[in-house]
Amino acid sequence: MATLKTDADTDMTPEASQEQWMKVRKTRARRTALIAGGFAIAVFVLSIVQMLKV
Amino acid sequence: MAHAATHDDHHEHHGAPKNFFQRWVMSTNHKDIGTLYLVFSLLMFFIGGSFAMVIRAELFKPGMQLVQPYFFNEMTTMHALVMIFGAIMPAFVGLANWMVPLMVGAPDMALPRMNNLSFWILPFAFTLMLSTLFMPGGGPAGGWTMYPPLSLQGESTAYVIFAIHLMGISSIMGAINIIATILNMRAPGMDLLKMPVFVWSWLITAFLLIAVMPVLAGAVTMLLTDKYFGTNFFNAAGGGDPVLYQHIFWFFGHPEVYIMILPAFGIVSEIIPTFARKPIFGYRAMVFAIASIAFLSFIVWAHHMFAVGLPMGAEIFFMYATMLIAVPTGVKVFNWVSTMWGGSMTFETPMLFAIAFVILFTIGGFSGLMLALAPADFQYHDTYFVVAHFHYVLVTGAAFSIIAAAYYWLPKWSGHMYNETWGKIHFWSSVISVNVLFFPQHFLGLAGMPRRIPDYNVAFANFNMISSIGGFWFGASQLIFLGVIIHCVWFSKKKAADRSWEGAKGLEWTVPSPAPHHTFDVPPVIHDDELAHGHVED
Repeated sequence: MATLKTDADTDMTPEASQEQWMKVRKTRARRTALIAGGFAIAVFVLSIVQMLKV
Repeated sequence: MAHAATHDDHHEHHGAPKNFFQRWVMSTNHKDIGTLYLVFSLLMFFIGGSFAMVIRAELFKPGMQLVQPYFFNEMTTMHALVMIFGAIMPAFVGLANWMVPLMVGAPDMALPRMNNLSFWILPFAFTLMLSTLFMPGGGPAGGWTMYPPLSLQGESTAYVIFAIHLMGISSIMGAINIIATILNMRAPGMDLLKMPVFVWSWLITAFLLIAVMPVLAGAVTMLLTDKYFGTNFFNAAGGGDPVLYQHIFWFFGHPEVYIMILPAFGIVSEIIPTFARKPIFGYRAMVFAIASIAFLSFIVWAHHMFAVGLPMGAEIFFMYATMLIAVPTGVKVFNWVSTMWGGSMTFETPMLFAIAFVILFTIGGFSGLMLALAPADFQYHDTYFVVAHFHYVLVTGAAFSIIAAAYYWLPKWSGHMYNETWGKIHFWSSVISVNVLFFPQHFLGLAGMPRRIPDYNVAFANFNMISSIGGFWFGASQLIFLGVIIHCVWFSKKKAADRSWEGAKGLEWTVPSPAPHHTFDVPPVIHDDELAHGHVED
């Protein structure tokens, strides 16, 4: 997982650091969304598949 | 934090698009999408309310007056579907869209384009569902629970199931967006246990949504295949089991009840501290109570099915598990009262609706406890007592909290103060009429009047007439609400301050009123004394 560096670590301007901060957050958010979406699809499939056994 | 608000002023050059289509149809801005959700839910509230007026007009006196029985059944079914999936849920998602990024110091939702798609699915879903009323064979009339085999007898099954799939996809995408935003987009220093209770309530609600909406989708998909593809999931003649559908439906349906009330808990937990001018009492207990209620919601579903002939052990388990929910709910009611206790209270319209919520939702909770008793439920089941119970929870609970939230945050959204006098007239008119509408239904239910019938025994005439008068009065009262909103947004001359309420705390009150198109491009600095619940001990 990407870590956020401070301005002092990177020699970047505060604006550039800000953009990087947001980029990292967005990447993590997409990952969270994929996990949550995958979970929802799994629940949908399981709710039907397990009924086939009843 | 002041610098965050100042910084936003520098970004006015990339404000809202001027083009109507670009701004409202193509929008990826959380505030605009929040507004779209709220306007849509208000429209659905009035459409669903007009169906309720038809129901109460028919029930005004015994005998068949106005409509045919099938149309009456369509009205009860559509009223529920429109109010649940079209009014209450989108209103809460709209509030989350507007307020969650502002409350956690995020510049927008984590996935703005998906946010746009989540909203724009809804108008198509509801157009599809409502259009069935004008089709040969009519719309769905088997109740919002769609129990087979009754629900499979209509001609509109495929349309309604497709509409429900669309609503479900919209809800799941909205929930995913809220989870991704809260977990990843919080400003530095906004720890999980520093988040406002409203944000917590939505985080937990969003997890409930992604866990149970796919179950509803699975259940209605099996209904679809039973009707059109020859399967026998719920067809007893083919070896299936109709009661199985009820289990699956209520595994979704009971958490759905909490999806419609947990955000209400969050709203009330924001409003009461503001107007009591005290931090919320027992912040952590409030958060854990919401989580506990969400957990318990998964293990109580069969209390909706006591009358189908469950094994004794199951009846006892579901009875006690249901009664257990009263514990965390009691904690919340106790904490709201304790927040008010000794506070420097004022009674502006949002506070009045919040106090009414606490009192009337508790009445709905008590009748819920009565229904949780398996032996007693055999008498109450499918009577107007159940109708009275869930309307106290959903109208004086969920709907009142949404109205309270609208009054509370309208100054932040519009930049103007609403008319307080008309707000209070709306409140008193609503709170009296809603009790005239629903309280007599307890007596009707206890006397044995069944729900979902267009005609009834003359013995029930008086209470039904009183209830109908309350219904028309309550419906008319909501036109005042519409008038107050229109006046506030377009005609009010009274500018709202950035911190619109004296006791309001939280990041949303640090940005200008109306909130600029873009906020928190630079994350704000979090100070504990600026948070609504004050300093939380680690």
